[in-house]
Amino acid sequence: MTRKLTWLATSIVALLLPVLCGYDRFILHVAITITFNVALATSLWLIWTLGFISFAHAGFMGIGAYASALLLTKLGWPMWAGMWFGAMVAGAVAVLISMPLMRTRAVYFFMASWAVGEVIKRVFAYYRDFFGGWDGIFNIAPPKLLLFGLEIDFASRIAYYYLALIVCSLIVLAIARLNASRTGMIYWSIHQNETLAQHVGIDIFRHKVICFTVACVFAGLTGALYAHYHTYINPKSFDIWKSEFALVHVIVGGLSSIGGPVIGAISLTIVDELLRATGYFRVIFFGVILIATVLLLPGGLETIPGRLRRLMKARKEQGG
Amino acid sequence: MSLDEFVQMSLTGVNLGLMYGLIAIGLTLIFGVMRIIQYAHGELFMLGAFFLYYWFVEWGLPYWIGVAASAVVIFIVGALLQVLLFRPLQGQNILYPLAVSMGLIFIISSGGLLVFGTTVKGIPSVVSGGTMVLGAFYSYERMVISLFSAGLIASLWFVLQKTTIGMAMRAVSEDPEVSALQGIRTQRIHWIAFGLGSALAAVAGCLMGTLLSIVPTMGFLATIKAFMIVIMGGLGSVPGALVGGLILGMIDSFVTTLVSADVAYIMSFVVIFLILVFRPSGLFGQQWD
Amino acid sequence: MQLLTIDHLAMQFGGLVAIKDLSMTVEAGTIHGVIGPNGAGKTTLFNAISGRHKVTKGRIRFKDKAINGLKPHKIVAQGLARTFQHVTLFKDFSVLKNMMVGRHLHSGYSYWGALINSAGTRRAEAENATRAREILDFVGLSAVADDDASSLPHGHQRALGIAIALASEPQLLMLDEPCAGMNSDETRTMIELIERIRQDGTSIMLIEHDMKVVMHLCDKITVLNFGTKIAEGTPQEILKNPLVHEAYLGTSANVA
Repeated sequence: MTRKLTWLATSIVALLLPVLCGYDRFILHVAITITFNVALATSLWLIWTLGFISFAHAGFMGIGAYASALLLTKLGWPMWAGMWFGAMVAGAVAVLISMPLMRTRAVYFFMASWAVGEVIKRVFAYYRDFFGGWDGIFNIAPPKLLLFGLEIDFASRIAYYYLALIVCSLIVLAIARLNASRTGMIYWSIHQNETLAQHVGIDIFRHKVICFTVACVFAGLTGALYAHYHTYINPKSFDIWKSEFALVHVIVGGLSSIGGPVIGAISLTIVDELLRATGYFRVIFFGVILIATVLLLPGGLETIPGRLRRLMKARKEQGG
Repeated sequence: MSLDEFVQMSLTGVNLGLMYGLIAIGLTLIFGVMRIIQYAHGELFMLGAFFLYYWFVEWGLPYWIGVAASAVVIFIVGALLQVLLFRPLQGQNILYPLAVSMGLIFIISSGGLLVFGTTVKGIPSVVSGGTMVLGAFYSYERMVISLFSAGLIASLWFVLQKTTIGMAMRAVSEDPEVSALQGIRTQRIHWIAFGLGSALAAVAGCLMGTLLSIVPTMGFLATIKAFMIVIMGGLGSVPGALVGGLILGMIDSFVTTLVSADVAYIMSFVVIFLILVFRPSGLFGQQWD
Repeated sequence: MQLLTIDHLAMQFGGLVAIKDLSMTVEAGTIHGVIGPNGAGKTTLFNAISGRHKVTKGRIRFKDKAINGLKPHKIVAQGLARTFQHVTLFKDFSVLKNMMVGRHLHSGYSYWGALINSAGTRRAEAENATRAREILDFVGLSAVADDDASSLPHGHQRALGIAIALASEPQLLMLDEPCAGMNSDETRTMIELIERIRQDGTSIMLIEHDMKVVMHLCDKITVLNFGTKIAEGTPQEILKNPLVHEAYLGTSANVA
C-alpha cells in the first residue's frame, strides 16, 4: 500500500512541479536532468535483473544522441524522427555487440562492456568529419510541435520538461511491466541459476540479447532527448563516468525492485546539484555515499521503509 | 623500418611491458586470492608515484630508499583498505566490492586533486647516460628500470613458489574452502595479498614516475591497462599477467611509434575484446564461474 | 521401445578423457540405474545427454531424434529433464515460484503476451499455478509452497529439484544422486517418490551410490568405471558380476 502511495505522490509532484517551483528555470533544469538519470538508471537496472553489469550504457546513450543530432544537422530531420532513429541505431548496435558479449562470463562481461563503451566514445572522437571529433556537434535544435492549432516550442524549458517526463515515465512503466511479467521472472531466474534456467527450457542466450538490446534502446532514446535539450554534445558527454554514475544510482537506490534506481537517481541527482559548488568535495562525497551505502545500508535506499517499520515494531514490543 | 628502429621499439616495448606487468601482477594477485574486482588499483599506483615525488623531489631524500618506502607505505594502505572495506563483503556478489572500489576511485582521485593540486609534476631521472644496442640508443635509466622490474617479478615468483606465505596465497587462490580446512588463516592471507598487490602497483608508479607526468588522475589509465592485461592473460594467473603485460607493452610501443597513440589505444581494446570472445577465460585463465 | 540411445559416446575435456566409448540404451517405462565408483563418468554422462557439455564424439538419440549438439533448453523441450548432483534451485524464489519457472515450456510464453498481460497469458499462468500445486502435492511439498526455497531442509530441497524437473512434464527424467546426504527415513520417502513417478508414466535414469536404492528400484543397471561400461544387466546379474566387485573393491558399497 505504501508503495503505491509513494508512486502516486511522486507522480503528482512530478506533474505539478513547474507550478510548485514557480517556473524556476534552474529547478526545471535539474528536474529534466533527473528524468534522464532515472531513465538511464532503470534501464541499467533491467540489465542487472539478468545478472549483468554493463559499463557500456553511456556509449549507447551516445549512439542515440549522435544519431538524432546528425539526422537533424545533416539532413534536417526533426527530433520526432531523430529520437526513434537514435533508439533504433542504439538497438541495432546492441544486438550486434550482445551476441559476442553474452558469451562472456559475468566478470568478463563488465570488462568487455567497458571496452565497448570506450570504443564507441573513441569512434565519435576519431572521425572528425562525420562526428565532429572532440569538438562535438553544435546547434542541435529542440523541435516544435503543432498540437490542436497551438504551436509548442520545445526550446521552452517547461515544454521540454513535460516531454522528458512523458518519455521517462513510459520507459519506467515499460521496464516495470517487463519485470512484473514472466519475462522478469525469466531474467531473475537466469540471474540466480543459469544452468537450471536452461534446463527448464529457457533459451538464455535469446533472453540475454533481448534484455540487453531493450535496455540499450532506452538508453539511446534518452540520449536523443539529451542531445536536443543541451543542443550540444561531444564524446566526453558519454564517457565511463556517466555509466558509473548510473550504476551508483542503482546501487545506492536499491537493486531488488524498480523503485531502487528511481529513488537513487532522484536523490543523488539532487544531492549532486546541491554539491556542485563544492568542487572536488562533490565527487569525494559521492564516493563516501557509495561506500557507506554498500557497507552500512546493504540493499540501498529502498530498504529504508522496511527497516523503519521493523524498528518501530521492535520499539513497540519493547515499550508495551 | 630499419633495424635500429625495430630494436628501439622492442626495447621500449620490453621496458613498458615489465612495468605494466608489475601493475597487472598486483591486480591479478588480488583477484586470484579474493575474487574481487579492485577497480581502484590504479589509484594506489598513483599514490605510489606521488609518495616518491614528495620523498625525492620535495623532501630531497634518497631515490631508491624512497621506492622501498613507497612500497611499504602503500602495502599498509592496501592492507588497511582490505580489512576495513573489503573484508565485510568477502564472498558476496562481485557487484559490492566493485561498488566500494568505485567509491574509492572517486575519493582517492578527487582527494588527490584537492591535496596535491592540479599542476603536473615529474620525477627527474637518477641515472644518466646510455649505450648503443644494434644502432639504437638504450639509456642506462631504462636498463636499470627494466632490470629492477624483472628482478622484482622474479623475486615475487620465488615468494609464490617457495615460501610458505606464497604457497598459502596460491592455495587460497585455488580453493579457499579447502585452504581454510587445512589451517591456512585466509583472513590474514587476504590483507597480505591486497597489500602486496597494491605495493607492486606503487612500485610501478614510482618507476613510471620518471617517464610519465604525475597527476592525481593518472590512476584510471593505469587501472584500464592493468585490467586489459589481466583479462588477456587470465584472471588470477601471474604468468598470464606478465605475458599480457609484455604483449601490451609491445603493442603500445610499436603502434604508437608507427601509427598514433589513439590507434594504439583502440587497437588494444579490440585485441582484448577478440581474445575474450575466442578464449573467454583469457590466455592462461581457468574456467571459473 | 528404446527411449534413449547412446552410440559410442566419448567426452574429453582438454587432456582428460571422462568417457571413452560408451554405448547403451534406456527402454521406455523402466528405471535404469547408472552406477560406478567416483570419477567413473556418471555425471559427465548426464551432462552430455542434457546438453550441458558438448559431446566430443558419438551420437545420442532421444525418441529417435538426435539430440547431441542441441542446447539444453531445446533438449528439455524434447521431453528430457534432469536434476543435479548439488542442490540446484532458484534460492531467492518461493517454492511455488520455482515451480512456475519450471512450467516455462507450458506457459505459452511470448514477450508481447507477457508485456501486455493478455487474457491468454493470464489463463496460462492460472493453469500453470494449478498444475504446479498438483506436482508439489505429488512430491509431498504442498505444505511449504509459499516458503522460500532457501529455507527448506536439505531433503525438501532435493524433492523440490525433482518437482521442478517434473514441471516440464518429461518422458525421461534423469536423477543425479537423489538420495545423497539422506538418512534412512528420507531415503525411504525418496524411493516411494521415484516409484510413484514411474507409475505415473515417466521413465527414469538414476545415478545413485546407495546400493539398497539401486537394487530396489532399477529394472536394469549400467556399471561404469574409468569412463567405460564394464557391466550391464538386471540387479541380480550385476550383484554376481566379479568385474563390478573388483571396481568397488576398497570402497564401502552398501549392498543389501
